[in-house]
Amino acid sequence: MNYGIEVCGVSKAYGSKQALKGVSFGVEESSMFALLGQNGAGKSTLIDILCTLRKADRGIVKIGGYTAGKQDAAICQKIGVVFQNSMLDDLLSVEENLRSRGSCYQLFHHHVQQRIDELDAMVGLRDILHQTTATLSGGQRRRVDIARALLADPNILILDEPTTGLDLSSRAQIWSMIHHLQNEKKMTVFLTTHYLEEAKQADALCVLKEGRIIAQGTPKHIRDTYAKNRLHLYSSALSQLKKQLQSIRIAYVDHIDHLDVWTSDSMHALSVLKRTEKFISGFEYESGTLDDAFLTLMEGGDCHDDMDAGETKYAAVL
Amino acid sequence: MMIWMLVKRNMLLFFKDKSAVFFSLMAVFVVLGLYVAFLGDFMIRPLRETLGEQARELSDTWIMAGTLGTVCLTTSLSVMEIIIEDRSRRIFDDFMITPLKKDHMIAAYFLSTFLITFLVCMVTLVIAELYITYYGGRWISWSTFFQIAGILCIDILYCVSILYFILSFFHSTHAFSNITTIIGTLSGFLMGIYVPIGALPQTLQTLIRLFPPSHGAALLRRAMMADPMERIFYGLPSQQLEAFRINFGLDFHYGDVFCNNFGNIFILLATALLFLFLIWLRRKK
Repeated sequence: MNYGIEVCGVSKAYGSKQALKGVSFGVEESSMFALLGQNGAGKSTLIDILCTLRKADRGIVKIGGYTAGKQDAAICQKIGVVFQNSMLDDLLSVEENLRSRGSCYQLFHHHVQQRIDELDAMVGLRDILHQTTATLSGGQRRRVDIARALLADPNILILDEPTTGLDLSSRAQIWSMIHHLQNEKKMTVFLTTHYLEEAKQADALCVLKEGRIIAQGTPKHIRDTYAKNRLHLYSSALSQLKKQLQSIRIAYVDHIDHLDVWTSDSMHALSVLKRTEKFISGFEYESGTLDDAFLTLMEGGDCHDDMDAGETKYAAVL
Repeated sequence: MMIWMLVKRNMLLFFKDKSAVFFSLMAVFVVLGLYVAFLGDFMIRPLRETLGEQARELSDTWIMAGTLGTVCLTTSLSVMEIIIEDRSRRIFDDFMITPLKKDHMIAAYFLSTFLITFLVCMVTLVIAELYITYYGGRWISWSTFFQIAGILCIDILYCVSILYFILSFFHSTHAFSNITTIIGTLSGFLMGIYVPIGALPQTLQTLIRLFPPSHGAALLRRAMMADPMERIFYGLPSQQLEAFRINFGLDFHYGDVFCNNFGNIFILLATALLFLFLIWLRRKK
C-alpha cells in the first residue's frame, strides 16, 4: 500500500503543554482523509507539522515519500495547503496574489499564466481574476485559496477547515472541487473539519482528543463502533416496562411517554424488543450517526464499551 | 526572480494602501505646516539680522534637509507595517510552505523597504525643492542631487536595519502601532529638525549627537546647504559660518574631535552593519 502521508509516533510540546502525544496514522495515496477533533485537540499543530512549518519533537513524518525536517524543500513542491484563515493579500487582485505566490515556486510569468488558465477550468477564476481580493465573497475567496494551493500542481492537498463560515451553496461548490481533485486528478486529500456530515465523505478519518488519536478507520467503522443506536420504547405501562428492563439489566433513559434504550446494533435491539414485547405498545429504532460517534468519543475518552456505558446509565437511573 | 517578485508584491501592497502613502508623507506636511505657521519666523528672524533677506533660503533648505532625514525613518516604519501584517495574519507561513527560503523573504522585505523609502524620499525632495524655489531659493545642481541620493541610500540602509531589528520583537499590529507612534514622535525631535541644536540644553545636544539618524540629517544638510551657504556667507568672517554650522546641526564635535562627512558615514554604516548582524543572528526566530 502506498501512503501519501505517513505519521509515526509524532509528539510536540509547547513548554509544558503537550500538544501531540505519539500520533500515528497513514493516508493512502489518492484517498481522502479527515481529521476530527475539538478546538485545542492538536489539529492545527499537526497541520503545521505536515506543512513543514513546525518540527515534531519526536516521531517521523513522511509526505509523498520525503521526510519532514530533512527534505522540506521537496515536500513543499509536493503539497498545496489551504489554511483555516485565508492568507491572500487583501489589497492585491486575485491575479497579483497568484503571481506573487507562483514566483515562490520559481514559476515564470508564462507558466503562472498557463497555470491560471488550468485552474480557471478547475475552480472558476476568470470573472474574479482582476478583482481586489478584499471585495471577494467568502466562497469566492475560498476558491482562490484552493487555486493558490494548487499553483505548483501538488500531489497532496492539505485543507484546514476549508468550509468553515461558508454558506451551503459555497460549501457544496468547495466539496465538488475537492471530489474532482481527488477523483480526477488523483490527489491525496487531507482535511480537518468541524462538519461531521462532510467527514462522512472521506475514505478514512481519525479523531484527535487532547493530542492523542482516540479512534480511526472508515466513517462507517467509526459510526458502527462508537455511535449508539437508539431504541424508543412506547408503553401504556411504563413502570412495568422499567421493572422489566431493570430485571434484564438494560439501561434506559426516562422520558414522559417513552423510554430510550441504547443498543449496539439492530440484532441487539431485536433481542431487547423480544424481552420487553409484553410491556410495549410501540417502538422506533434510530441508527447512530457519525455525530453520535463523535460525541461519544468526546465524552467518553479513549475507550468505548457498550455494556460499560449501559451499566453506568443503569446505575444512574437506579 | 523570486526575490524580485516578492519585492514587487511588497511595493504593490504599500502603494495600493493610500493611507500608508499619505502617512509616510505626513512628516513632510507636519513639518511644513509648523514651519509655515511659526517655526520659520522663529528661525528666520535672528538669521535675517546678520544675513539679510537671503536668510530665508538658508532656513528653508535647513528645514527641508531635516525633513528628508525624518522621512527616511517614518517611511521605513510605514513600509514595515506589511511585515507585521504578514506576521500577524500568518501570511508569512503561506510563503514558508513554498520552496522559498526565510533568507529570501528577509532580503525581499529589506529591499522593498529600501526602494519604497528611497522613492518617497525622492518625492519629498521634489516637494522640498518646489517650496525652496517658490520662496526665491535655487534648484539643487545635479551633483548635489547625486550626493543627496547617495546619502539617502546610506541613511535608509541604517534606518531599515535598525527598525527591522526592533520590529523583529513585535508580532501584533497593536504593539507595532504603539512603537510607530513613539518613534515617529521622537524622530523629528532627536534629529533636531524643529529647533536648531544650538538652541537646546547641552545634555540634549549630546543626546542628539549620539542618536545616529542625526548624522544622516547632518549629511543631508551639508549637501543641500553647501551652495546657499557658499553664496550667503561669502565675504563674511569664517567664525560666523562655523558657528552657524555647529548651531544648526551641520557639524558635530565630540569634545575637540570634529566629525566630518566620513565620520558621519562611518557611524551610520557601522550601526547599520551591527544591526544587520543582529538580524542575521535572530533570523531563525
